[in-house]
Amino acid sequence: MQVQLTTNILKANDAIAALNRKLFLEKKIFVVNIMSSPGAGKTTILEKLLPMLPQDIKAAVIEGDLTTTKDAERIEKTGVYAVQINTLGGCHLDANMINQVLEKLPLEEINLLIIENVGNLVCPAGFDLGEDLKMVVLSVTEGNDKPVKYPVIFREAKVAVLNKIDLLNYVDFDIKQYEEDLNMLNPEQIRFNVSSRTGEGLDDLAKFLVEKVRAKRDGV
Amino acid sequence: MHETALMESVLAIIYDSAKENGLKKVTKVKLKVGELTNALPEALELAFEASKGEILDIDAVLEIEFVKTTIYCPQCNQSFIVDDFKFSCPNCLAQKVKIIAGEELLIDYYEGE
Repeated sequence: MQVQLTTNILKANDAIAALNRKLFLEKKIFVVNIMSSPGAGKTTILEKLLPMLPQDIKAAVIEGDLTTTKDAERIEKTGVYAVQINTLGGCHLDANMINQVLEKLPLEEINLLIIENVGNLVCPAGFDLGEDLKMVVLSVTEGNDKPVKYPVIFREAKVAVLNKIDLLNYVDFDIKQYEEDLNMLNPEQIRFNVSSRTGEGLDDLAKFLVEKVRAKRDGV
Repeated sequence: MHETALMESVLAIIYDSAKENGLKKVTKVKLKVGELTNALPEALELAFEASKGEILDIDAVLEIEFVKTTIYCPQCNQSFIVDDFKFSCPNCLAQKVKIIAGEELLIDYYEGE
């Protein structure tokens, strides 16, 4: 006997992601899912960015790592509430892991939730967490060929952040080629070139996020 | 290796469905996997072999249909299979194209008795 299913393999994940999204809409919380390879600078960007946000933006962070609470500790030093998920070998966060930690977050008080995914340019791309925005971070030391090598994640991300641009003179990163490749994959993507070390470009990224948070909060 | 997580989900869905349909034994599972899902057929096979015995018949086989990326260009009213993730119309070079295949991650059907 053959049973025709035509069922989405990720239907369980997507159902929980839909629940998360509904809750975030009710609470008017703007949610960003940040993805990159390990060491691109996700946590450092957040350390610099979070203190730049104006008073009316109340943020919290979910940190995803295989082990350790190092990243959540780094975020908490900025005065922002952080909760750590340890995936214990898992290569990505899924919607259920987010759902499980929601009760630990001050959902009534925040309007921005940043989810820092496990460092990986492959697996996190497939799992909807219920976020409003996917942001991918690449650093110039990784090389400009990464968008074409990992096209799925660069195509899915509405925002691409190029980090460590203070090192552009020391590495062979072809920024023109990087932009051309991204245009091919994702012509409508919004891009920021930043250095979390010098702070260059971070004000534009902060401004963009603030506008998004306020728009969701005010129901625009 | 998110293929392990994907396969866990496949097996759970089939287990529930087989139970509902009163099947004692699942002999074949057929998946459709699009190029744009980042799921490697070889890694799915490995995950299937490693974990099928927990719920399915140990002799159950897996068939994967790999689906290439296909785009549709509204200007040209034509669809194209594209290589190398080039999401633009090969005819008029327009970048506003629609993906019509390649994002599937489906259990097509299974067989049992």
